[in-house]
Amino acid sequence: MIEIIDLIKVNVSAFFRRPVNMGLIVLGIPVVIYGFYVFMRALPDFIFPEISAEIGAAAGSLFAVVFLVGLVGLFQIISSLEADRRLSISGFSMYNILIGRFLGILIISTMISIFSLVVMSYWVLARSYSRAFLVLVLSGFLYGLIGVLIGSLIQKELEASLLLIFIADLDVFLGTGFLDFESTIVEYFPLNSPSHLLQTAVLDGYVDSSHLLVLVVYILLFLYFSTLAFGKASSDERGWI
Amino acid sequence: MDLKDFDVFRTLTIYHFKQIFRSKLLVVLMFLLPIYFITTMNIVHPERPIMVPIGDALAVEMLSDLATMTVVTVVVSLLCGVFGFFIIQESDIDPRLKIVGFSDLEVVGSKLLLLLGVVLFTTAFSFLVMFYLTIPENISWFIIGVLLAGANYSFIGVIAGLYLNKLPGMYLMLFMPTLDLMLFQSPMVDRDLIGGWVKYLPGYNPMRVVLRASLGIDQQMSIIFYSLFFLAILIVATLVIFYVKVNSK
Repeated sequence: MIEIIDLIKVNVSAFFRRPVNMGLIVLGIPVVIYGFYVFMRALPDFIFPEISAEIGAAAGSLFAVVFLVGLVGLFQIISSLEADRRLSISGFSMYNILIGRFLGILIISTMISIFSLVVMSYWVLARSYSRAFLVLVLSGFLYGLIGVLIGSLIQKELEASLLLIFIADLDVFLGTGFLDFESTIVEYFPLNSPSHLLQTAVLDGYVDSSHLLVLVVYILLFLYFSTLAFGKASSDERGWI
Repeated sequence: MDLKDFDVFRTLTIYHFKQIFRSKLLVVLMFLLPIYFITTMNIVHPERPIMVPIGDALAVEMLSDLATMTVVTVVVSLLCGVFGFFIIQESDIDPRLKIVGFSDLEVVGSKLLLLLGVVLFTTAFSFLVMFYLTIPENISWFIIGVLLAGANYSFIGVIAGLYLNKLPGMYLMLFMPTLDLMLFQSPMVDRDLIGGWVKYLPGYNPMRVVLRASLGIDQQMSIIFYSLFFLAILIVATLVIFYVKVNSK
């Protein structure tokens, strides 16, 4: 247990030690939330009757959280793999290292979600903070796992983070329902349910249990895949690409 | 300038070209990003007419076509910013070039020449991708508008390249044009509701040129003038920053 706690401490502090990450949190989160908020506020009602500034703020928070926690997942794989190998040599079990990594992602997701909700509240107040918080933490965690997956496929910081940005971008944008894009593919995007959950949590103060179930299933699914990917990445040094 | 000077520029530009395009990522971005961005935006935007207020006029255009044409500006600005950033950032070899005898002017000038090539190429390539999906009403003004946006962002990329490291610079050159051109300058937003501050962003005037050209509305010379004015300020700012940076070392 102490081993895992030590590992979590190492992982969390490794994230906050990077100046880029701190810059993204302090500057990026407010800019993105305000950007989405002001964009959706300025859409004329007669063309987009269902879109409001509140939806924009919620989408901005969601994007900020999933992108940043996704980065955490990426860096867990790309820059910490070597350190993991050394930990494993010095007697840490690979199993604990993995748990330490995933719990680290969860804790950072919690911190970033709290910060995003605080920033969002400057413009828009959520009807239910506890529900919005829960949805953000879980979505962040989901993208952290996706980050682990991407990171183990493409073991280069720049390339992998670009792919993450493009995926998260589209995912959040389609999830807002701003485009009435008629296709069933969109419903299978990882952030389709979280977007819906966050909107209802912010606007009406409730969350739909079936969407929540989908989110949990996605998390379990990606937990499985990212465990596989982590195992693969830590066993041979080079990624698949 | 005699013929030898041109040779120097040519050699250096080709050298920088090789240096930059040794990175597979940039080559992939240059070709994949326009295809991905432009086709996706075309697919996800619904095929329904939308009214766009431009100045005093009111134009009607299919939402999917409008989105496709505006995203060309986004993708070109994004690529120009990223390349401007990398062309300046990858400067480990520059001191050695100076030792070999190339002057500051030649090193920087050849980099800017390469950047110009990138701006022209990405514009042409993105335009080609768009051409399969939709065609703007006024092609030449459309290209001018896109080039203006690309030029603005390539100088912003150059400035970012002088100060930022790889990762933060890349994120900045990715998010800034996307937020500016795709959200704040979007033809769908109500100008009065979004606030007057968007006028001071680098994408404001070029996007107005692009929109007018896309919808076939007459260009206003004042907009072109403001665009060029903004670009001139950026160029001067870049040169001043460059000069200060070089001399402080």
